[in-house]
Amino acid sequence: MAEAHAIRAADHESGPAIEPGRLGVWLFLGSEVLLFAGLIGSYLFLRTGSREFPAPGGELDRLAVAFNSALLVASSFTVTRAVKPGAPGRRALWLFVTLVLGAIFLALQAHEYTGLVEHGILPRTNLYWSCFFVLTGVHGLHVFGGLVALAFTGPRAIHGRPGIAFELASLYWHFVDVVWILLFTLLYLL
Amino acid sequence: MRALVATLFALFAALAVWSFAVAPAHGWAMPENVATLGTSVDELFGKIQWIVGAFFVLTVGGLAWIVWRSAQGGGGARSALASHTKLEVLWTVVPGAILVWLALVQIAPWEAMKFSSSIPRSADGKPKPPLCEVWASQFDWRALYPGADGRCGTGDDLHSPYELVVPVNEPVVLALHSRDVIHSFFVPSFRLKQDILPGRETLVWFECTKPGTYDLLCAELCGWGHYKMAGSVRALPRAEYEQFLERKTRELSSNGMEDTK
Amino acid sequence: MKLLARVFSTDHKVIGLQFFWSGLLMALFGALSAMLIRWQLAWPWSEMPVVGGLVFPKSGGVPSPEFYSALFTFHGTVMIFFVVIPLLTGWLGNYLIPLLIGARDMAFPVLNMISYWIMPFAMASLAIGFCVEGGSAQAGWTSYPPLATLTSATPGSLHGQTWWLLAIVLAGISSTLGAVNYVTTVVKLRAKGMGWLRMPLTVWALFLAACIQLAGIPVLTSGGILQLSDRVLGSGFYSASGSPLLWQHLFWFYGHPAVYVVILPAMGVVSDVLSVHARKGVFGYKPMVFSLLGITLLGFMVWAHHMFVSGMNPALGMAFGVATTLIALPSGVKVFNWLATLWGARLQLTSAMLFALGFVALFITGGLSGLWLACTPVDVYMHDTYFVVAHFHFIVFGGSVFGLFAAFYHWFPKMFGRMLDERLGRAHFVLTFVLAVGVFLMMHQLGLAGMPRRIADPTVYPSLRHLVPLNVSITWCALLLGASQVLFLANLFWSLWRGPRAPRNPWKAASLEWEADSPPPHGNFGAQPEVERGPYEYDPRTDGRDFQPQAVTLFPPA
Repeated sequence: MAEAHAIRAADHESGPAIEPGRLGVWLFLGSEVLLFAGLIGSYLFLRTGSREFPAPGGELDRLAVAFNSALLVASSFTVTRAVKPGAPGRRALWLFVTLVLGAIFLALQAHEYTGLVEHGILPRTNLYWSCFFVLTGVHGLHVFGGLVALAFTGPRAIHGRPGIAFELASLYWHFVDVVWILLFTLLYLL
Repeated sequence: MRALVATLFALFAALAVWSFAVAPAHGWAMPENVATLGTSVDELFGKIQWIVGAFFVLTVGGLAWIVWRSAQGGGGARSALASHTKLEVLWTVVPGAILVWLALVQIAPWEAMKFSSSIPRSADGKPKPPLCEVWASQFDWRALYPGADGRCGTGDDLHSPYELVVPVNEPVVLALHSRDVIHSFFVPSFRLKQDILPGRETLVWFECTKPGTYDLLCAELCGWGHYKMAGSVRALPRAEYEQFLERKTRELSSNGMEDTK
Repeated sequence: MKLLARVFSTDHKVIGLQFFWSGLLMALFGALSAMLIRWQLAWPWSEMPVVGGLVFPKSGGVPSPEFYSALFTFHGTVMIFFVVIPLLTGWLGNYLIPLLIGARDMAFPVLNMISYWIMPFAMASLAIGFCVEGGSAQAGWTSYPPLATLTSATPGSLHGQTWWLLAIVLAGISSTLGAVNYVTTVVKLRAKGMGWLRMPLTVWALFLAACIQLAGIPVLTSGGILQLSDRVLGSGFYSASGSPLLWQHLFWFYGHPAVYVVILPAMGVVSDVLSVHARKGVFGYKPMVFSLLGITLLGFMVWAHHMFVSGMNPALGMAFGVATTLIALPSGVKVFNWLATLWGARLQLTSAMLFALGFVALFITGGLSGLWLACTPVDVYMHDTYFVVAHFHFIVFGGSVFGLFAAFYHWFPKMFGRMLDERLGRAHFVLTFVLAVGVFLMMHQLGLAGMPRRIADPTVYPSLRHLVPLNVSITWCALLLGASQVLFLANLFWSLWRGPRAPRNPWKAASLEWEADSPPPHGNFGAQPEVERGPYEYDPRTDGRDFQPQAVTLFPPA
């Protein structure tokens, strides 16, 4: 593969003071926001617009999910520690904690799904559960993607490779976290 | 090449104008309008046709003329003008004003066609109840007239497959329903089109002004047989309409055994 | 290894040409399906040539109505999502953006490579659709549920629709990754001196098209996810108890701006081509930029004009009708500026110029017929008739495809280092223009007479039977239009190997890409260009040349 051309700032119009990588990730996050806006908007459209929108029953274990949400929020703090410059050992530990928290979140979500399915609750059960499974499912895929991104970029950054990839991956992780807070409020609490 | 291209554009402009000008004579225009609300559609269509025609001839004709006039060969342009503020303002404001006017004049007819506040009222001032229910399904039309009890969906409904019969010269409200997918109720002669969503009742209204039989088409793709979802609307004077209902009632009571023709 | 490096190249020019070749291949299928559609409309239920014997040996080559539905679904999907969007943004965006702004490559070359290599998977899913039970998707390129979600509603909804959805979502991901790249590249990698208002209009248009994609595609994807869930998981988002209208909103939220994704770049290309071959700067550069911006912004406020008769709240319809009428304004401003650009110029009627002029004529037509459709009471009649088909083909064929041809003839020397045959090119233009008018002009009249789109056999309706001669003449024009593209293909392949070597700047154009070799090497420019002026400096009074290159000339004038 031919050598990549290093981008030298001196060759270019100054433009806004932001690294191309960071701008790219923000643009990508912008389109992710719109993806979730489409999904959440659809949920609200159906909830307010259809003649009878079924209320979620007692099948939701709100307390357990609140605990799970706390884990994800906590992982947003731990990842910040992992990104901050410092002793590689400490940073690696924080990264490890973040990954474990994310993994537990996914495991508990899978556990919640199996519990629901065992009770005969599926996306086809009613409109609420359609929304529930699709919204949380798409979010779960994003959590998985975020974990992969952190696991790939973290060790390299901690070992002192230059670049902002890890920082950008953590940005994505925060985004996933914020979306979850929104979903939790809309799907479990409202 | 210059002459050829200029001629090509000029011919295209002429052909386009011709195609709209001769359309009525060849049956290429909208069929004769036979509904009250259709009048405003035809008027709007005509007004827009003048606006479109004028801008079309001005711009495409202008293009042909510019190509015709352009000198060929080397050298630079005769006019190197890069911008002209007054011109820009002129060709923004004038079309802009026309467009705003166009945006405003469409509001009233649209309201009369689709706003539920425009549903025709009966003598008591209440919205007129639907004359009948029209049920669309893959791939047929079926009109359901209420029987003696005045309601549809009871045992004594009068069925009229493929043909909707309505009284002429009086406002008619229809309740549209679909049994499966989205269909669209399209009667070109009434300038009337309305999608029918499954699971909900959609009201349309019109007043036919001329007795006759008109095509009813499905205008929303509804499956492999979409093309053959043909029906018709028969508009009858009130008396004949009553006779039609009577005949349908007899058909029902005779259990379909008697020859009703 | 070397081969792998070429195939999975990260060079924006190689990726651009990959989009070009795959777009061309898909265009071939799209055009063939169009001709088969026309065959059925002119001579319903007669033996289809070539394809009939292969697909319907039992009926003696007579197509089935569900095959007809599959044909127009395929035609719309392929032409929009696999031909004009990938060609305008994938081919032109990739190839031109870095060259025109003086960058050595895209901001994210690897992401760029990935964005292309998603496309073959999308194409494969579309192809798989034809092989599954029930055949490929038959719910139209708009795929309205419940027709698209009830597996029993039509044969193509059994399995084919799922593959269709997969294809659309994959193509959407490819476009989104590309758009992230284009926007970042334009914002960050412009050469020194290339201020925003010194960018060629092609770059402005490609940049704004990418912005539209970034904002629109995710919403269509969310709609696709819901439809996929309805089909695979049995959820009920779009069922009668959910909302069939929800899909229409999500679809058109991008489906309509997608029209601007395919027309803005063509507008940009045409502005540049007109200017170069008229030896005159673009008239009113700033109003041109502002009208592009205006179309981009208004483009997101008009989507529900596809839904005037859908049963949505008529008050919404009124608001969208007003917004739709107003979007004609920036397009009108562009037309007047193009005419003013040509005014008093010495036109050089090269093939590229001819297609750009043809674009102007046909785009005007398509734009003006939109005025009838923007008028809500009139649209009630026109909606889903051939009038709409005529309108959007003037925009997408007369606009986007003519823009693509103009770009092809203009930039071929740069892309392949060879000159095309101009006589063949001019003949190609004359035939394409005449036959396109022959195909699409009288479709307005079909629609006025009340012929709905997507019906396999208009003769079923007594009131449409007199339209048979019109349908037959349109079909003849369509078959000839398809056949006349042989001139284009012959020119392409002949010139690729036998064309005379292209000089660096055959058209004596001022923009940056002509400073690079033809074709440009990896890295594009020998020395990093520095931009000194705008892209449209054509003036005979300066030092013997009638144009001033944008950058300090790195090489002596040819």
